[in-house]
Amino acid sequence: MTTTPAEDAHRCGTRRRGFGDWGRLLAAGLVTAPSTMLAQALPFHTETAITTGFEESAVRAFSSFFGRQGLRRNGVGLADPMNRDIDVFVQAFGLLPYAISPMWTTRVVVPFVRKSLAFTAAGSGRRDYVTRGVGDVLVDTKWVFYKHNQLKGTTRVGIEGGIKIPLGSTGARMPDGTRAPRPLQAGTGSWDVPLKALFTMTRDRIGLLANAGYRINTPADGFEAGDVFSYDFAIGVRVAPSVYKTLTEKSLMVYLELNGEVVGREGVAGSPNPNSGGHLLFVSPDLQWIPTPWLLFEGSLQVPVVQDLHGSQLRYQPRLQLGTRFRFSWS
Amino acid sequence: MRTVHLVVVLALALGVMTSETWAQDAAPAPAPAERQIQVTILGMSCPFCAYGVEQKLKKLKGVKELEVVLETGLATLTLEEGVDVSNEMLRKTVKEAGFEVAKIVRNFESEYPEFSSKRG
Repeated sequence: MTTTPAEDAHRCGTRRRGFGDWGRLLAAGLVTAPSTMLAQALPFHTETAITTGFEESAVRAFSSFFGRQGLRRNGVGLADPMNRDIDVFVQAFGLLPYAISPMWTTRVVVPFVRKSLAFTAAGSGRRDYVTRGVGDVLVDTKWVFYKHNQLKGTTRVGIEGGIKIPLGSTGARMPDGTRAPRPLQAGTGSWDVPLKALFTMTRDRIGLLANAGYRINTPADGFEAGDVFSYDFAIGVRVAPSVYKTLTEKSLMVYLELNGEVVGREGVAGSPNPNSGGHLLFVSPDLQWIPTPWLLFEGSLQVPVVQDLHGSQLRYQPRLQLGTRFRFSWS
Repeated sequence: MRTVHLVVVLALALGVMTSETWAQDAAPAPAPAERQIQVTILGMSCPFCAYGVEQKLKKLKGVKELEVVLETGLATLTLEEGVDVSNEMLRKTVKEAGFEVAKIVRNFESEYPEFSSKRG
């Protein structure tokens, strides 16, 4: 009897789990989505409390490559009969981050998403599904309520909040013509609310940053991604130049970040999925190159060092991210 | 005798005038220094962050040249002839870029007497 891959996955009882992985991956991708654009106070993932100046804007674009592979339960490897391999590519653009005031900025993030799921289906060999399209749009705002400036340094504390609008494409079809499961779509279909507290301190060549955040995910189409508590720490060091003589000197920054996520269990048709959620911690070394004061190039490798995942789940693989930021003035 | 004295005095006076004229010809007076304002800015720690304040100060009316040095936090504005920028405007501009002014020093007498702080 010939079956569709979706049917195969469903029969094997792994469809929900596998596509639930997709939902969390996308959520993680958006949580780590671009920050307001500002350097040793600008790590790749940890959000800075430094805002762009009034009537100043910046654009950030980055590409993320991440995936999951290798089934585990309580840290022990399990045989995955479907040998699933999930790969996600997100190309995100942070657009029009307009500064309403020197301490209040806004941002719109539009991601383009490509998701692929490869698995071995019983009786039909290796299957590979790919969906691509515009993801959900994130609109958020950052307000810095405490600022203490000093020579070659600043300390700032702020909050950031927004809303993820389900404008992403949800019309992807499976090869058999049926609508692809929601987690395999570029858009999630749900309205989600990310909130974050931000701390940033810079002293000459050193920057220290910390974030604590919570993301409320809402249900859509009978699926609800688990809420996410996130915490981030970052230290940045300006490697070169040791002393700035002019503003136009090229700069090289190095960062080390810790990016943690505690993800709640996802809900499928009102029931919690035992094979979802858990605690993830990534160590992320970043490099940042500033050839001119208005242009920045950056790269980051996020290595998972803690994967305390509930039930049986695929392991997270290292995430590679490359990006650029560009500053300009409206006036 | 009185005539002799008169001739001597005239000769000395002529000599002094001549030497002054010669001295002026030999070393012309230096051109007046360019009008500059030095603004000490707090909060700048990287060029990407400081780019905004540079752009805003450059756009102030009458600013001919601008140099920002992160190490010292100094922004040096060279002004066009006869132009001044008030301290209030400088503070507002720097604040709008997200930073703070610690000190403003001019190398000329300000047209805004209440703000004048001529460098010694």
